[in-house]
Order: sequence, then structure tokens, then C-alpha cells
Amino acid sequence: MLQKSEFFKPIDKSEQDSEFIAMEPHSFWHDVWDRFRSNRRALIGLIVLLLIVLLAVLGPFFSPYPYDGMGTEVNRGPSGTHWFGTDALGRDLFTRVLYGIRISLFVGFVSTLINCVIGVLYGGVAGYVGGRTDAAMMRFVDVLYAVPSLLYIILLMMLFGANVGSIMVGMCVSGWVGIARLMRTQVISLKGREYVLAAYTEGAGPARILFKHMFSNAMSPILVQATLAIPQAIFQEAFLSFIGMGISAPQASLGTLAQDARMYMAIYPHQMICPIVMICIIIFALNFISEGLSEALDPTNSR
Amino acid sequence: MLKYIVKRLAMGVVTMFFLITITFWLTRLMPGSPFATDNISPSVLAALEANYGLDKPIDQQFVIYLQSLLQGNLGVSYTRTGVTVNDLIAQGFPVTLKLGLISFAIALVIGTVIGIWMSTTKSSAVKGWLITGSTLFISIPGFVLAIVLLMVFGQGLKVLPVLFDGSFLSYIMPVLALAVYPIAQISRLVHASYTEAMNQDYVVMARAKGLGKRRIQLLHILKNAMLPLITVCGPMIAFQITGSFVVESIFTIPGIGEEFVNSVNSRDYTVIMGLTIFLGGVIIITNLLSDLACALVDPRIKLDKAS
Repeated sequence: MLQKSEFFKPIDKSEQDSEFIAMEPHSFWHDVWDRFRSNRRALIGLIVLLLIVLLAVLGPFFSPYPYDGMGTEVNRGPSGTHWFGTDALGRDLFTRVLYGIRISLFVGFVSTLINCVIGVLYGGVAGYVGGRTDAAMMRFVDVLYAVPSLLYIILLMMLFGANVGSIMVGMCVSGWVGIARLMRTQVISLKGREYVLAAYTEGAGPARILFKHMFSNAMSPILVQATLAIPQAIFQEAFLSFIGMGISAPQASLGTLAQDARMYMAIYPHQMICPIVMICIIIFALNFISEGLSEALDPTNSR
Repeated sequence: MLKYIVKRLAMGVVTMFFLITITFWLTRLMPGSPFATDNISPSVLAALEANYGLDKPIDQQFVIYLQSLLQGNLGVSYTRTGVTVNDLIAQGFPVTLKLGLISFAIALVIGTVIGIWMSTTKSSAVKGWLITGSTLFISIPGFVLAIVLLMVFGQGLKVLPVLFDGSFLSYIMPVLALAVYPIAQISRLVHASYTEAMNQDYVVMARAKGLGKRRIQLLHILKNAMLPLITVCGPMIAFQITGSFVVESIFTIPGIGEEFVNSVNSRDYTVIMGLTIFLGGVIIITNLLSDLACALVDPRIKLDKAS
């Protein structure tokens, strides 16, 4: 009787699957990218920056004028042949702006990269070793932090001459200090985590624990700090060039171009407007990216 | 508390010494004698160097320099005879200080108001524009702003004087150029700390007690939200000083910043050295004061900072 099939119905399998999570497993960076993408300001910043980088890298190859090529057409306004006009020596301003962007971006990115490497190493070691070593290392950092960097960057520039190299040296003397402090606090707070202990019991050396396990967990705040440091470095370079301490002729950064145009500002305002608008756009884009990145990396910190 | 203050003061002294040492050695490493020009005879050069004490061994020069610094003597200009760095500071610093304080006070008031507006507005559109605006103004370097102001109001519309003459109208552009960045920065800072303070239990409590909206905003929230501002006052002053370099040279204001830029361009090493030490000292002292003020206002700080 009970074996009669009409008393039994097969279980509806679909109910079993109702708690199945259909979303694909996302990696951390995938999530970050999704959050970053949903931030309109940050996305616009990224696109603008990529366009500018593309322009600065590829532009000069298509430009018919060399950046230091002088001509007889002096102080021309913007036209079809010279998009941004020419300067007092007849050099094509558009080409010079493109090279200026190259230098500004190069200074910003490379100095930040160097600072990050030094800062992570220094802060990581100080936090990991701890004790007296840490105290001594951090005192040194405190001293460097308190001395206004711009003042001795100017002195270094006078000593080594006005070129990209000496600007980099100047910015890297103390630029790593912020990153080092951040890395140190991160390492100290990560020290007691279970996975660190697990790595230790498995026989991982200090270098592996520090740079593989701890660094990958400390990366978010450091990345945010780094994206903030890039526009600051560009800012500083433009500032130094503007007060006459920057890249020397015939090379020119955006700041130098603005400085050159200062004399003729009243007569040929376009020579001033082109480079300074470009500086603003770059810093603007970078600031938006860093804002978006800090929200994407740490959603609890959304503003 | 006393221990923290003593420690912090000792740090300040060490930092100052570090700054002086670096500045001295970097300046001495600069190539060439400060008096070397094409048409100078070796004997005159030697006499000049002896006159300024440059013939002595360099470590002895350093000791002499330190001694004169302790007496408050920052050195003499090598390119302009008879001009001492102290004179330049006495002439230029009051002007710079006045400009810096006016713009900083304006930035503090406007920045705080905008910051509160950002946090209390119910409209997300307004908030979005305010945040975009603050990012925009943080992205504009001071010299760019100064130039744009000069082009638009000075040369274009001709409503404000291009040259600085100390009148009220001539103050407007430099003050604006110096104040915009701190306004943006302060407003973001106030926004962050105000939003945090807004959600604290004591605010809910105050509201539950039936206190007025303004009273809660000013007395309960703002008072606590202002704390982080004290910490940034030091760096802000440093920013105002470096900002004054360009703003003063663009608007030809006879301040210490313009003096610095001029001496950089004329390679007047001793003036650069003296001004660097003076400005660095001002920045170090303001940082020190803002840290101490912070520790006094908020006793929690010394515990984790002194470690």
C-alpha cells in the first residue's frame, strides 16, 4: 500500500539550491575595482589621467616640431599649425607642454615609487624588530619629518644643479617618512595576527613574513598615501620650477613653462594659460583617483 | 604631562640643530667662492674671504656660525654689502606675518563654516558639489591661482591693483591666493571630524534633553570636532610660509618670501642659509606649539604619542 507511487512525490530539488550563492567569487582587487568604477568622479579622473599619459607618451612622435626647435615665428597665438602657439624663441608650445607633462608625471610617479620602497623597508624593519632599534629609527624619522623639506630641496637643487635628477634626490630625502610611519604602525598591529604566527611556525623567515604576509595586508593604506603623494610631488616640482629652481633650458617642465611665460603674461596670456591649466588638470585627476581609491579600498571610510 | 612637554621640547632642539647643520654644510658645499668673479685679483679675494672668516677651517667656521646663531645673529649677505639677514627679516617678516595671519584667519572661519555645511546639508547634490569644489581647489597650486587672479582682476577687469602698495584693495588678491587652499583643506577636515562627532552618544543625549539645534551644533559637536584642527595648524603655517614665496613674488610684496626667492635667484648663499634657518625655525616652533596645545586640550594624546 505504502509503496504506491501516488503517495510519494519526488522532492523539489530547486528548494535545496535556494541558498546557493550564485555570485561568482570575487577577489579583493575585483571588489575594489567594482567599487572604484561605481564612483563617477574617480572614474572620470582615471580616464582623464590615462588620456593625458597617452598624449604625453605618444604625442611627441606625431608632433612635427622638436621641443627645443626654435623658429622664426615668435610669440604666435594658437593656430592650426601651432595648436598652443609659439613662445618667445619660436618653439612650438604644444610640443613643449607635452614634454612638460612627461617630466611632471615622471617626477611625480618615480619619486613616489622610490619613497614607497624606502618607506616600506624602513617602517617595516622598525616595526618588526621593535624595541630600542624601533625607538632609535623612529626618532630619526621624527627629526626628518619636522624639518620643512622644501627648504633643503632648494639647497640641494642649488648644489647639484637644476635638473630632474636633483629634484628627485631632494624629494626622496624625506619623502619616504610618511610611508615609513604608516608601514610601522601597520606592522605593529599585524604582528599578533594568527596568520603571522602560522607562517612563523611553518618556518618562514622574517623577510618572508614581513614582505609577503604583512605587506600584502598593509597595502591598502599605503596605496592611498602613495596616490596622495604623486600630486604633491608634481605640485612641488611645479612650484620649484616656478620660483626658478626647477628644470633648466632647453628642457622644461610645466612649472618652467609657466615661469618662462611670466614676463609676457600681459601680452601673451595663452603661453601662461596652457601649462597651468595642464598642471591643474593632472593634479585634479590624481586627487579624484586617490579619493576614489581610498573609498574603494576601505568602504567603511566612505565620505 | 611635564615629561611629554620636556621630551617634545628636546626633540625640537635636536631638530633645530639638524636643520642648522644640514643647511650649513650644504651651503658650504656649493661650488666656488661667493666672491669669485672674473675680474678679481687673488689677493683681494683672499682679503675678502679673511674678512668674512672664510679662510678658517670649515669645522671652526661651523662653531663660529653656531655661536653667532646663539646670539641671534643670522649672518650677512655676501652679494649686497652691509646687509644682514637680521635686517631682511626685520623688514620682511612683519609683512609676511600679517598676510599669513589674515589669510589663515579667513581660511579658518570660512573653512569651518563650509565644513559644517558639508556635514549638515540634507541635499546630496549640494554635498557632491561642495566635495568636488574642495578637491578642485586643493588641486590648484598657489602660484596658478595667484596668476589667474592677477590676469582676471588685475589685468583683465582692472578692478584690483596689480602692484602691492599696502592698501586694503591690494591685500585682496594675495590673501585670496593664500587662503583658498587652506579653506579647502580645513573644510574637508572639519567635515570628517564633524560627521564623526555628530553620531556620538552625547549628541543623541543632548538632543534627547531637548537642547536647541544651534546649541548642540556649536557646543557639543563643533567643540569636539575642532580638535583635529589644532594638529594641522602647524603644517598649515608651514604651508602659508612656502606659499608666500610665490604669492609675494607674483604680487611684488616686500615680504620675507620674496626676499627668499630673490636670494635664490641671485645665489646669495648666506642669505638663503639664514632665511632657511629662520623659516625652518618658525615652522618647527609652530609645530611644537600646536603639538603642545593638542596635548593640553586633549589629555588622551600624550599617552599614545609619547611612546
